[in-house]
Amino acid sequence: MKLPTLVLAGSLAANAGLLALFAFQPALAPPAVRDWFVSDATRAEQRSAEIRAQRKRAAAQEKAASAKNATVWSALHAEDIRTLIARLRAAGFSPVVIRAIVNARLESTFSARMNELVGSLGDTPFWKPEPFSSFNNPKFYETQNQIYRDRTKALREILGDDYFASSAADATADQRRKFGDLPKSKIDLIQRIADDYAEMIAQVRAATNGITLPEDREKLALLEREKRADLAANLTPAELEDYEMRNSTITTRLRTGLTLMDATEAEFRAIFRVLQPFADVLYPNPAGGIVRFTAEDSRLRTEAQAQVAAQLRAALGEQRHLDYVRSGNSEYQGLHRLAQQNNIPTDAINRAFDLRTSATEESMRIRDAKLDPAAHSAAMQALAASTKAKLAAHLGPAADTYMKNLTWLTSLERGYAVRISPDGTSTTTYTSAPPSPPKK
Amino acid sequence: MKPLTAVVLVASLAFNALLAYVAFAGRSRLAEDQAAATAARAATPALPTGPAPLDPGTWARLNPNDLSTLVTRLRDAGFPKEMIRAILTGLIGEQFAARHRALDPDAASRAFWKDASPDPRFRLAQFQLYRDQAQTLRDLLGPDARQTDPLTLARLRSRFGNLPPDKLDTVQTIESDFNLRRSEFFANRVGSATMADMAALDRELRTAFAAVLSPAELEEYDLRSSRTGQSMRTDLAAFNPTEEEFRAIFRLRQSFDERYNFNSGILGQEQMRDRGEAQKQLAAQISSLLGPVRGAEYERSIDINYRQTSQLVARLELPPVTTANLWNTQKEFEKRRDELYAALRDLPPEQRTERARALSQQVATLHQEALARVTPLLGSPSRVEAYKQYGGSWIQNLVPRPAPTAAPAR
Repeated sequence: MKLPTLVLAGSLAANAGLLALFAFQPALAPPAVRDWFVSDATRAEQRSAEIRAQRKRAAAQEKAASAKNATVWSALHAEDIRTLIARLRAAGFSPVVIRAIVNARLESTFSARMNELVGSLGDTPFWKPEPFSSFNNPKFYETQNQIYRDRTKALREILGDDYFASSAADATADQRRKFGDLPKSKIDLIQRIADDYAEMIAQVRAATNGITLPEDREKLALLEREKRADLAANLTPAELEDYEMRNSTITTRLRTGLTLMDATEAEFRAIFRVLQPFADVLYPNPAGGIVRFTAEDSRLRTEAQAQVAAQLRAALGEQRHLDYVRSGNSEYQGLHRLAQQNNIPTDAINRAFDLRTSATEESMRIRDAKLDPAAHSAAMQALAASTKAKLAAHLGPAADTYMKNLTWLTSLERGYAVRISPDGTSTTTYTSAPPSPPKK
Repeated sequence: MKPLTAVVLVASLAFNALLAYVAFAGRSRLAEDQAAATAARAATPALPTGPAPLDPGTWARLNPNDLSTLVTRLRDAGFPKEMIRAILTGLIGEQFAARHRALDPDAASRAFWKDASPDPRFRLAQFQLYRDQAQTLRDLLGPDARQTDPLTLARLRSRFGNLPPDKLDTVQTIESDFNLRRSEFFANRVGSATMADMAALDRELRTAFAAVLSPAELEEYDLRSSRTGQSMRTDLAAFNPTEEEFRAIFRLRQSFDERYNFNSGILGQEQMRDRGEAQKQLAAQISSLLGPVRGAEYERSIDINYRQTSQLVARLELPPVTTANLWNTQKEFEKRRDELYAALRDLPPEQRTERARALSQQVATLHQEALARVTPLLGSPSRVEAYKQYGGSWIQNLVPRPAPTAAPAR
């Protein structure tokens, strides 16, 4: 074989060897032509290796992030709660989350007091009075409320404006409902006054152990007067009136009725001004709890109710006063709910509701007629039947639901006369048979 | 050499050179890449060991938009359980805020003297939303969603006894579902609920509890939290029963309550008679169970006036025996008053008016005598006034009342 042929053969073999090397190790080839040396299988294997590598990288990143996060709480944590808040703010935590964290932190701070209060009450034997009710254990109840008040106060002082960063409600609207347009400095002042008096009132009430003696009443009345005087010293007369209207027991008690009658602001203010002078008699316990009325209390209440009714009638006019009386009645409120569910017009439920007055007045006339028992019973049955028929005519199929729980109607059916109090809030059932006619 | 062979040879040699260069260059590049990778690995910083620097992006890095990831990261980040629960509660509330606003769009502008809509459908939807919020928290946190504050735990122990945590979770979930039913019931009713209504709801709840509690656990629940158990815990405060006495009375009271207290609305005359008879039988059974001394103590202790007197005596820091002394005084004067009125009832109508005037005077004397008897027991007239409110209403009943115009029906 000639030399050139041998050189050519060697050169071709070297080319083949080098190409084989690229095929085995494509990384040696220039990127532009590397793909020529990669088979489909190798390409798939490479892809899967890449995915594995990506996952590995992601896991490593997550691990790194997690390792970095692992120290977040220790970096945030501070014994001093204000330092904790500053760090949370610096770390970009939202007001809602800051409020939640501070609240949880305060809960743990106050849990020592709560633990001390609760003690072993949870283990009270079942044959002893239930230890957590305000009725059985007013001292526990008042102390528990004081702990909550102290916690709220601490939260308010610590968070400042972020106190209202509640997640479920519009903070501004909440504040406005409670304080109107008062400046923040006055709101803080009022809050402090309210807290201080709430604490003093709680101390008096806790000491009563469920028995309010005349001297307790005097102390509570004095505290209420002092509180009002303190508020009056810090608010203008108009601000004081507005604050009291917004936060009074009267407003709380009337809200449902005022909603149903769709009271205007002028009507609400008129109603409030009529009721306020009678608040001590009509709403004797603004701090909550059980009130036992003496016969004298009941007499004063009845007198006050009559005066209030006369003044409201004059202030609102006959029709709106009637709306006010109806709307404040729990039976009417139930009827209103029924009407909403069954699309019954307001006029129809008003007529249905008014039947209780006419029917019970008729039951008293029957009772006073001193009929013999059989005639008395028949008259009551007839009255009940005609009332039911009228209710069905006003309310349609919903009448059955309404009538099912009307105790006054059931009483008429059973032959008892019923009297409704002048303000419509209570009923007296005459369960004894009517007086017998005198023997001849 | 032929010209073609020469051209092929030159081309092949040139290709040899090119491939050899490319292979050499590729090898060098690989070596450099490996060296760079090694250098990069060597240059990777060590995992942080001290507190992470806090920057405004810290919260965002915890991924608060995905609550599930957030929980993992908060746990990894060392946040305590109660902090995680608080944070999640706040954020879930925030997530639900839009749904709350949609349900009650006027909330922000509502006048302060008005409430949200009284429509029961609205109330139920609102209740359901709060339940969903609680469920979301439980789904995200599992057992860590449990409340751990001392008061909640103590209340649960008081109601259910010492149930294991898993069972407590189960009964709380049952109760939560049941409360929705209860809300529906109250939302859809008119007028006040009767005892029968309430008892029907209680039975439904108890049946659900019975499916998950052992008989012994269910009995604990009944003794502590059933309507009979609860009312006995209050009624027997002044009786101060032993455990055995309570259990025995409970068994008798439970069947009486089921039949006569929890299944009736307004009773007719006949039902009232039946109930009265059954009550006498119950009293006799309890008395025979307790023996004469404890039986008598039981009888007076279930009277609300006796209980109130006992509370007043404790509040005034008087000797406990004062309660029994006042009670005996009450019984003595009530008997004397009843005798006076009974004598009047038995008179023919024409003699009543004149006799009534004399009676009125006698009752007034009785009233004064009663005041003279109780005042030293209590210590002062102002304390007597307190007694009239707490247990001593019988004194008010001694104030003369108008004579009846006709004999009351018997």
